[in-house]
Amino acid sequence: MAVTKLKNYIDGEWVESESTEIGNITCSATGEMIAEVPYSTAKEVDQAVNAAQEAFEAWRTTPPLARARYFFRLKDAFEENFEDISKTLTTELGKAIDEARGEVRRMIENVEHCTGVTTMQCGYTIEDIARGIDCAGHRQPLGVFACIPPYNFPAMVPWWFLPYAVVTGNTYLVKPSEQVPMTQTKIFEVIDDVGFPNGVINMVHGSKDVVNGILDNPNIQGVSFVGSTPTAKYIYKRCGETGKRVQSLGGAKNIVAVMPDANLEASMPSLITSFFGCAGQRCLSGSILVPVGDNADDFINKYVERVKAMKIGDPLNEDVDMGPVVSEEHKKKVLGYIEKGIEEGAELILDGRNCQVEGYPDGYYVGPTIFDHVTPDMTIAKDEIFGPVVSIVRVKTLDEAIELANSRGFANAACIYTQDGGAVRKFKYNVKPSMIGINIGIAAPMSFFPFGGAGESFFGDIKGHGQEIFQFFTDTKVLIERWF
Amino acid sequence: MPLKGFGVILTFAETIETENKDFYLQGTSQLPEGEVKSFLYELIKEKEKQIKQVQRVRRENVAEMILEPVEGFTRDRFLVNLSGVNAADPGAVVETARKIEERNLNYYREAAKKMKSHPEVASALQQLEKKQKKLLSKMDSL
Repeated sequence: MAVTKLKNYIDGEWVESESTEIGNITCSATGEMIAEVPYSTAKEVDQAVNAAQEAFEAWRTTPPLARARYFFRLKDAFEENFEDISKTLTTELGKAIDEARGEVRRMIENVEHCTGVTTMQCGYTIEDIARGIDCAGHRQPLGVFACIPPYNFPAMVPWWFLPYAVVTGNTYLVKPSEQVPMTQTKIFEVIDDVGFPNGVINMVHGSKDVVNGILDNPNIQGVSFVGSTPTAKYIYKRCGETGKRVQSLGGAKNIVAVMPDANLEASMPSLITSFFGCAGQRCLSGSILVPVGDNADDFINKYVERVKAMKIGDPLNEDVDMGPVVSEEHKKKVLGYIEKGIEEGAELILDGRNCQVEGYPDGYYVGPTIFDHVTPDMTIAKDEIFGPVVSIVRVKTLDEAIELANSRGFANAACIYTQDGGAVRKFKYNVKPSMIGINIGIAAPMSFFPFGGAGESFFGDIKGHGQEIFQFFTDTKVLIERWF
Repeated sequence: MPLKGFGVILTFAETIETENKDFYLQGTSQLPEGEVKSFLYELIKEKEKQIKQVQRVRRENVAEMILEPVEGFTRDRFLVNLSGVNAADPGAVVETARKIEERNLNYYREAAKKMKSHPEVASALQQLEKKQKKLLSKMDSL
């Protein structure tokens, strides 16, 4: 495969970075090098922000419906390029092709949702707040916004934010993950074809210098971040210091409780995809499996048998259930956690350390791994592993399961499998995580509901997409008027 | 080979539709002018529409919740060996066309059942089944 050097997209032009620092992008399934990504400079961030700032005045005065029409066209263009984007995503990241398609679908759903701008950006008004005085609130765009997304959803995550920012009249800068920059580059090729006005949407590749360039630039009004908790905290703090709006989504350690009355036959498929979909590299992935009650052995045996039947292989092959993790470095990290689990005394009942995929000796494969008899204080029950590793923590009661969910610090998602409405009510009412699955293993809100957790999983006020995000990208200007 | 999920079920539908279309294209290049050849042109158009429909269903309905595995469904029963069919013989072409369109009909019928927990997908597959029925009844009049 030919190795391409990726370019930035600034002011409607593809621009080669002046940086000499380059990162290598490899195919996760083969280990083969497929692209080079420039680690751009803060100066290049400033160039993009200047272009976005310059485009802002004309763009904000473009009528909302006219702005929405760009997104209608973009939706069509994304549909036409659907397979191409999905395959690029699978190649660089390694998630199974159907999962990649699902991600691209979710990206497009945000484009669809944003086109409701003529309703969603409406202000409000009331007459006679005092005699002869009327009051109105107008929702105005603020200027330039930026997004710093993670590697695990390279297509979708920037689109939790970008469409809403831009359709409300702001201009935008995306810094794709330096680990998987090809997908967003492919997406920007489509944007370029659709022909947004120059400077409205920009992309600068890079790493820390670009992130700091975004945080330091005084013309950036707000930042949307998704990634690890330490970085999310850093971004939140820096944005606070520089007066930027911020929504900062961090890590997760999600529990999936299985009550004794759960319908196991119906639940098993989603219990498996919850933990092993995208090779466990999802902030909504199940991480701790919590059988509740005294008789967990039967469930665990059935679960392990079903997991063993999963097919691991080339993620472009539709028969494959799970592909590799994103990189050699990440594979080592996941393997390190498995070693840690053994060292701390958990019982390894399914070992994915020596996963071999025929024909792909250099792929970053980690097989499905299951630990039983994990205790809440073990590292594998506390840290976000972000790999295909299940930690089974057995508990006797629902209260213990709730306590476990609330003691992780992270509070992104929690799921329960049961047929008991009372148990569901107690669970959803009392757990801290703010995305809850009931007989669903991945509690992923769609574009018209907010996405984000609580506790150490989210820093900010307004979450990703949903109705509220229109507020994140607008300022409500209040007009109080009296006429003599 | 198992058809174990949403994507592979739709992709196999695309595969069999494409296989049928390719067979008809071969027929149009070898058959003499006549009723059968004209009908093959009609079938090619119909297959192109159905391929697009299958692709659209796959694009628009994929989501995490739909990626749960499907069990007890394999492609072997729907494989048809087209080698050795004389594409220049109108009778053989019609007979094979009927066989492969019936295969598609059966496939859509069973796939719809397998996807019944996702009503939009099941409904789209049922629509495709209905189209197959119409094609087969047209063939009866040849």
